[in-house]
Amino acid sequence: MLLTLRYVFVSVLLVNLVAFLLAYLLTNGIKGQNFFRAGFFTPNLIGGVILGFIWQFIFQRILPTLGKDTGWAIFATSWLSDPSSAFNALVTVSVWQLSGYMMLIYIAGFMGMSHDVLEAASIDGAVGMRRMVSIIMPLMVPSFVICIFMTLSRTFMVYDINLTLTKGGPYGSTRLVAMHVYEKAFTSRQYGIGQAEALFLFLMVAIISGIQIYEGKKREVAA
Amino acid sequence: MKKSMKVGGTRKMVGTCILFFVILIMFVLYMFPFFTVLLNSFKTKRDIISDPFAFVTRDGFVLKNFSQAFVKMNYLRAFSNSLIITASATALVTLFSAMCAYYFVRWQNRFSKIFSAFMSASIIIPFQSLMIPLVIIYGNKLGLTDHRATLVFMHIGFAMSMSTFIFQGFIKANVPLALEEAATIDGCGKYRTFFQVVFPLLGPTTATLVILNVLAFWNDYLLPSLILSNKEILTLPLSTYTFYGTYSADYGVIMAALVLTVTPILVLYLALQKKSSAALSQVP
Repeated sequence: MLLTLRYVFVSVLLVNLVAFLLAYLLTNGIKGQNFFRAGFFTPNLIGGVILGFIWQFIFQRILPTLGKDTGWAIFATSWLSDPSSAFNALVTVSVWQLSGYMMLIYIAGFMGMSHDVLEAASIDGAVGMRRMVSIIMPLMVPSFVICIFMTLSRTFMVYDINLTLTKGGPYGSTRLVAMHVYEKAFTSRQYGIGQAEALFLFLMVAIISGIQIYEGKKREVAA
Repeated sequence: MKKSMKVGGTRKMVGTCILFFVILIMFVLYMFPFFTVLLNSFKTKRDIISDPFAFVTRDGFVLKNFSQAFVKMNYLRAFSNSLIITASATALVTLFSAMCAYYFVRWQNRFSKIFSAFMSASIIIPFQSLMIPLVIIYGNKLGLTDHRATLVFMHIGFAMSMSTFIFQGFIKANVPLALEEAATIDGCGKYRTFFQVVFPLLGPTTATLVILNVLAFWNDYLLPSLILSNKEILTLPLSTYTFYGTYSADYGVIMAALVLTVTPILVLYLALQKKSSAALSQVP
């Protein structure tokens, strides 16, 4: 469970950071932005099982070869063979998959932002970081609430990628709670224990997303 | 006025260029996995192991991987299973949830209030907390597993609450009551009003939900893996999984199988790209 919490925390943070950044960059009117948006969304079209297999190949064959060719030490061995880097691999794939979807929601948020407010802010001299922190972020709170809620529930329940990328290994070091429930119930046939764990997962998700939505709604501002 | 604020100034142009390159680099990183899989699906195992990046290989480009994967994973059967299940589940979910949402919004009685509250609350329940009783009741007690219809039924059940919730919001905000009243005065019954007046007005939300549900049903692994075990009725993700387990050492064929599995949904997305990207940006 602690592992899952760590995974959820790191993934939610990174997914939203990357997605927000992508959305910000892709609403500046550069050439071909629709093409890029579609491209970043692509990983979402494909099921976790397939993504896991694709990345297994990348981590096992491609990156070690890249490491050998370039001499970069981080790719020298397969990420999936060591517990701590297997965790990183899992997070990488999750961020890669989910950020495109969240990016679309953030883009919708950016597009819906009122231009009057932004213009007023720029006349008042708010540029760069100031503009970001004092104007854009507060106006984007509704998007943050939705995105964090969705990433929370998705990452708590992740199973497919976990199954096909690492299979919980090496040595059970990346067995997230969903997989644990599955194995308890259907591999070792301990339905009772499995169900108890699943119920605990449910309470956890309910409490954390409840707090998150409550706190988020409090911070919403009227433009 | 500061120099940088001038429209079309040099600094702005440099900024746009840098921005473009940052996005381009990210894009290349995002597409890299797909690209390598596609590249290696045309190679023999020997070439993949010696150098997965090479364009020119000893054995040249081979198409044998595709034909092998196509036959061995029983692609056509898995594809048609997935298609039947996804299509029927999506159609039914869309219809039922729209009707349900319409009832919840327009008939505000105690029954609809309680049920709509329960349905919205159930969105948050993780699938894992339900799957064990699901398997025991439907599988061990009722013996209903291993039918495509059961899977469709369950897909509908799990997708209903989210779809109903989204339709409810849309109907409340965007469907004018006056239109329905006009229809009633003109002699439309409940059903006619719904199908001829309300449902056509739900267009944009319907599109969004259809896309989300199609993606969810088409790609789902855990639920089908619990329900289906007969080889004849496996869906595409399930048969890819089984195939991978059997041939995991034969990289070329595996890559070809992955490409084959990914292709239908990518083609669909590209074909509907204009419509779907508009629909997806309205996701709640």
